[in-house]
Amino acid sequence: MKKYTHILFKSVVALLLMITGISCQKLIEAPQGQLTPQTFYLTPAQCEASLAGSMNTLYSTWSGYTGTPIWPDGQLDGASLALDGSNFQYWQWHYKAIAQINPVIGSIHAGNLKSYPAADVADLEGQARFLRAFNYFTLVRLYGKIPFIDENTPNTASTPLKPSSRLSVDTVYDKIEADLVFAVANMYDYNASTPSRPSKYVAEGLLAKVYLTRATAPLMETDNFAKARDAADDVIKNSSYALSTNLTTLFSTSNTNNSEDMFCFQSDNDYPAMPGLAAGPDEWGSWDSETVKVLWAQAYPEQPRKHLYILLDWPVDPTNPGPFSSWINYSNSNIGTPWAEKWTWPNLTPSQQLDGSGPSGIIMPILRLADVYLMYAEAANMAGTGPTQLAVDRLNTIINRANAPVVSVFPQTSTAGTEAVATTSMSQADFNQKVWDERNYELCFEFDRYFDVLREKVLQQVNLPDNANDYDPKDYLFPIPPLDATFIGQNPGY
Amino acid sequence: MRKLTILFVLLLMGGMQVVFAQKTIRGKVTSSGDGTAIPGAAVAVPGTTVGVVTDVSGNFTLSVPANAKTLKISFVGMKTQEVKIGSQQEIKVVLETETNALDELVVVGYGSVKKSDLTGAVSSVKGDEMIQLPTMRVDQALQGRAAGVSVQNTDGQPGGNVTIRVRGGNSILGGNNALVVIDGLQGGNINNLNPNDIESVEILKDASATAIYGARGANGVILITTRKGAIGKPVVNYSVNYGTQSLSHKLDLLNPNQFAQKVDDYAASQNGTVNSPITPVLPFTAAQIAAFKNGGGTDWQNAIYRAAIIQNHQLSISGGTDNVRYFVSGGFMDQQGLVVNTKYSRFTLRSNLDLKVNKWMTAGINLNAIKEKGNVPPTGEGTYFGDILGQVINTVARFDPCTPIYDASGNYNFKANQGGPNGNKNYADTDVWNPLATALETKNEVNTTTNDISTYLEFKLMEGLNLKVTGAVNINTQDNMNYDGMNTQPGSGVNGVGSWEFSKYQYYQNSNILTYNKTFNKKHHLTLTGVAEQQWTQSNDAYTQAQGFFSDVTGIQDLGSASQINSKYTTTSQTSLNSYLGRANYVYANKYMLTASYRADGSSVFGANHKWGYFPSAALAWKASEESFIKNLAVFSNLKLRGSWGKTGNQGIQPYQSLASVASGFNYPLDGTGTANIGFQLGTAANPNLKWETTAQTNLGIDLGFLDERITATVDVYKKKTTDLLMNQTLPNYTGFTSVLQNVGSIENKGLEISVNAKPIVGHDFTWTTGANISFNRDKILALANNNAALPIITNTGGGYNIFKSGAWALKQLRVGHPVDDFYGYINQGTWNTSEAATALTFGQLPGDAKWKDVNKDGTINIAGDGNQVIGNAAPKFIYGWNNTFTYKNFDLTFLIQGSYGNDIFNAVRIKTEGPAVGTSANLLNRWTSTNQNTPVPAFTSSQDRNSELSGHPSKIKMNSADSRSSRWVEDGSYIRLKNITLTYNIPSSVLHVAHIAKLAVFATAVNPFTITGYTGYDPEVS
Repeated sequence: MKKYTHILFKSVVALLLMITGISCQKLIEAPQGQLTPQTFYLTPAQCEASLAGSMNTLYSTWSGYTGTPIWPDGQLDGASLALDGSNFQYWQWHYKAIAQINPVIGSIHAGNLKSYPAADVADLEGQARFLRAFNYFTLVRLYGKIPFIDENTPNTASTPLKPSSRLSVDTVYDKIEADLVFAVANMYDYNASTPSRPSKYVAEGLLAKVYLTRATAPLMETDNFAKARDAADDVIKNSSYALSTNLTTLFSTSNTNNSEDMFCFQSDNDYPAMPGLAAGPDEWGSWDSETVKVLWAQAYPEQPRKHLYILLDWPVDPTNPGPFSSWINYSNSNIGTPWAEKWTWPNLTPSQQLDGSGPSGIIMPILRLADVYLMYAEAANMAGTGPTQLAVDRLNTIINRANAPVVSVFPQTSTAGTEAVATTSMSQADFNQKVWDERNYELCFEFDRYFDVLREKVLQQVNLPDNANDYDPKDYLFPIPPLDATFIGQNPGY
Repeated sequence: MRKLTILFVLLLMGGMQVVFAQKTIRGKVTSSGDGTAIPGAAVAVPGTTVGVVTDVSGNFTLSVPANAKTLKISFVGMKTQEVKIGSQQEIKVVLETETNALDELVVVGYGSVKKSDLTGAVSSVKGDEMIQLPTMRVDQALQGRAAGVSVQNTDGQPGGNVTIRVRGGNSILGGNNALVVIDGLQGGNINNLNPNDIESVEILKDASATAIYGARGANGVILITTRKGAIGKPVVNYSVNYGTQSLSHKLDLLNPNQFAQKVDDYAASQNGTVNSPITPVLPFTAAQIAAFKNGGGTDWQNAIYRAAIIQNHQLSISGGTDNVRYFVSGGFMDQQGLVVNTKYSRFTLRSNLDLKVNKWMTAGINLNAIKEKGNVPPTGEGTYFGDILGQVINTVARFDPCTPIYDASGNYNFKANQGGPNGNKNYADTDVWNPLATALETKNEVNTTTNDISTYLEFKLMEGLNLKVTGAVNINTQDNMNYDGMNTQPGSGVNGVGSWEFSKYQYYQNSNILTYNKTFNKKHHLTLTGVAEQQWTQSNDAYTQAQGFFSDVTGIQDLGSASQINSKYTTTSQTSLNSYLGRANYVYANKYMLTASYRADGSSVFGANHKWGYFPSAALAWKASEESFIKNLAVFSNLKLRGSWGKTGNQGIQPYQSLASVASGFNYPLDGTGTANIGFQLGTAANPNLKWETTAQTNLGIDLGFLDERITATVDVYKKKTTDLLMNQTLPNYTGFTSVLQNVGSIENKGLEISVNAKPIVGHDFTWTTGANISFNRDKILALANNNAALPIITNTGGGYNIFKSGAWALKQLRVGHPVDDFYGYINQGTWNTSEAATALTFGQLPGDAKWKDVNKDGTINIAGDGNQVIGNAAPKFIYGWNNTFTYKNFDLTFLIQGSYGNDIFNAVRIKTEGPAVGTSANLLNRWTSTNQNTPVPAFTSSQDRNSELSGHPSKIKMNSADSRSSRWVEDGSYIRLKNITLTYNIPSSVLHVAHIAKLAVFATAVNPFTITGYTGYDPEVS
């Protein structure tokens, strides 16, 4: 009996060990219904989806840049120099966008896409690095010294950043340049079947703007003027982009991604920008946001372009405009201000403008060929000792287009404009000012003016008379969100 | 819902034996102590239903089958004895006092111990106690019966959820539900068990008892043991009960006549300003108001609530031989809800088999199959579609009493009527939807199927050494169909909206338990337990929500006819848990006891850096009553001191929560081609450090017994500190994430539990046994995420209550140093009376206006200074229960009194029902007037008078007009109620003998026949 018990004991213990030893469940999780960074970014399509996701952060219905930022750039009412919590969101959006881009670059560098054609993968990496550069370029101009989180940065959720994580402004620019230089060298050229996808000359156009910004305030690294000139020149000469000849349709929602649009925030019916109703005349039942400063509009030179970019007169009902004599001039309107016509009727259809739930179809330019022309003019003038013939010509191309009479719903556009053209006999400083003024007129309401205000150091002047008493030199940088600042420090003066 | 149930119940127990030949035996039963006769002792033939009770002199006469070999004699407080019959015809039996009621076994995790050897805090409830209650639910049957256990109905639906808290709540996000273990199967569902199947319920409370369950033990453990067959002839048990329940307390609302008058009174007060007076439009003429006295309008509470029928059938057969024991039962329960069109039915089937294979091997298999089916239209908060406006219980109190259910053509009046001479003046709450339409036109079918299987093989390896290998499976499938028809609020305008969800949950468990039991030198008793265990779960879920149907008949059941899919998803997840644990019990000389346990849990849901958690515990007990110096006192029949410490965990982490995720749904037209590109974003941040919440608990207890255990008492004090609470820690924006789940918070609970049991009267015809318990628990938040920032608990109730809507004015906020259940808001001090007019004026207010406490005395009532005051606390100061059984001859009377003291309830419905313009509450009759100044209900002040009297006195009441967090709505939720009273008549065996029926009883029960409470809502238990 004892013997049997012994045998039984042994066999059962063996059984026990088998049960627990062999079939012990694995503790490492491998989800099947949920993607993780380890199971994503493994194909070009997945990487592109992540890049699309990064742009969604910046521009999607009712969020991100779908509302024109009300920055204290002197063009729109309501801008304030009392910079506060509302200025945190740009930090949040762009860092969130960057968080979607870095894993793409990391995955490519890790060799996860080796099985795909090398040129395709290089183009993909170029797109990712272009988008990352674009995000950091916005951040460095708004916030100054910032952390440059890239694919090699340890997980920032578990490894907090430190004040030393903030790099000097020129170091950040070096990294932005490196991304863009890679993008220019590796991206494909413009493809008409994917008109708004970042491409080689888009990257070079942005690179020109980076050089130009380095050359001006706050860094004043003036040796960059020549680099900006050459990059802009290359885009103008060699890219397939061309200036539009007709300003009446340049911003029309039926003419999106036209030959002049290089890189824009995109919308479509499924993923629309917010409805046009969100901004527009009170007479249309629109919300009273994004009103244009009357003083600024009055200072704008009289020319056809003025009436095509600024909504100074409008019909009571855009679906049935009636004779111009029955229209309302802004000075007699309910709110008493003009509106940003680039983003309202007649560039929007009446239904896009008036339907509160419908898509507006607005795409917002980030880089437009006209901008590159003006960048060339500025850089060529400042790189040498004064305006060159080509600089003058390229500036005048923009001015002449603005002055040219065109047929539109606004009778004023049939009269030629009065804005003076530039000449080679202008002084370097006068010509530079002329370019800056032209940028103010041509690129109005396109997110660009505020960055010009910063690099021209005219923040106080453009806020005259209404906002300037709030001015403080600290206002050249936005405050960093408080929780982030507890890790990396705050900008001076906040 | 407060219930009032009367049930008529029939209980039959039949012995299926055929009697061939009999002989008669006479005898006498006496006590060993003083030799006195014992009346009322049970004398029975084991394995049969033959038995009798001794008479006043201790004598008995019994006819036994000719082949009967033994007699079994038992009596309360005495040791049961079996005597051989042999050829005797006269038998004398001397019963010894039961000194060891403490020898009964108590089930603990992975084993059982003698009650006298327990070192931890464990409450036991016997199955027999629970089936006295016709509750049909095990969780509700536990209410009031065990110290430290709080049972609360969280919604009033039949088949609805009940929360069980053991010693308060330890967690914020990780869940506070106790672990339920049914016959060793962990994570069972207590809600749908058949109470008749239950042998006993043990509630493990202190760490010494719960640490053996490691990462799942922190919230206490409820061990349920189901019945087994006993060796003997088959015993058939059939019971049926039938009853009704009805609402015992209606809300005190205005009748149509009163409401119409109130509406006019209010409308008259809205007469513009001095400079631009308005002639108010009155919704009702005096004649219309008077006409309501003769009828018209609707009593919505009568339209919605009904006397609901409950019936319950229960059949079981049990028995066994030396080698096989069986218990098979089936149950059917069918319950209507108090709200029309709500119902719940449950079918249960259980088969418990135990096999003795040979001398050293036994085996068993328990099967439990449960099918539940219910219909639950939106009756309470948090149900489908969240919006309170289309729900029944809230809207029934808010809907206009002057509007009939149906219009003249017999269609529903979906919204309140309008009044005034032109018939276009809104006078009632126009947001809410016809409650009867909501109840009748919504399908919300819940179908649940549960299959539990647990099996074991047990080997006796050598003397004292046992190995038990168990396997358990729990498979739960849910098939929930919701359809809001075109006559409901969600479905109107969209041609119906509905959803269908299928989910399946599978749980597999394997436990290998090695037990060694040995007594050395008669004084050292050692029990060692070692367990290796693995658990694995899989959850699958598929959900579709759609709208725009052609017919309410098919609705969501014909998804192809939907014009639009609103939402669709599938999810799948797996978890695994590997565990090793060991426990040692050592008892020296029956006086000193030591228990130590240690468990290691490796869980897949933990972060990569913390895959294994370790949970130790230790306990000591000293049975002082075994010491001679205590024995010499002759006071205590039992005196035991206990102390324990240990750590337990709460692995309240969802699968994959420690991993980063990449989520779809962030499309963007990157290519600019008019078609959006698919976009993905990072969803959640990884946290490889994510781990269990840890609760360290210290417990001190004393067990007392007096008068040979006729009076026993247990007192426990405990302190629990939970650390590493899971909370969402806000992340800096540069991470690209908003927040991440981290182990950051801390909560403390401490408390005192007392329970006393006694048999005050033990007589021949009359006995009284009683048990009472009381529990105190206090909690405090010690640390929170985000540098201890106050954490608003935001749940948007909708419906315009605006009490939890945003972080800025959340009713519930977690604050360090405060209890978890505090309410925050403004302190309402009633109304200004005329003698305070001057002070009121400084706030820009008039007598009759609401008077708010200016806490910081800055002359302004605003949120910063006055709006985040503690205005109440939902946790009771103590809860208690008192259970009694009286037996007189063939009658048994049992009743349970149970209650809660010192908890507050925020009675949110009153925000709307006491609103001046459209409110329906009878409290509005008590509004302030110059002759009724001592009232919390503000006056209907003429707006012209207000305008002129307050000229130059701007209002200093800077509360957000939507912020409804007033202490006026906080009510004392204390209650004491007669939970259950049952009168049973056992039909005498002499009558039944003829029909071979062993026992037949008829009983009547009332549930919640009365309640004493100051709470004005339906029921203080459901708040």
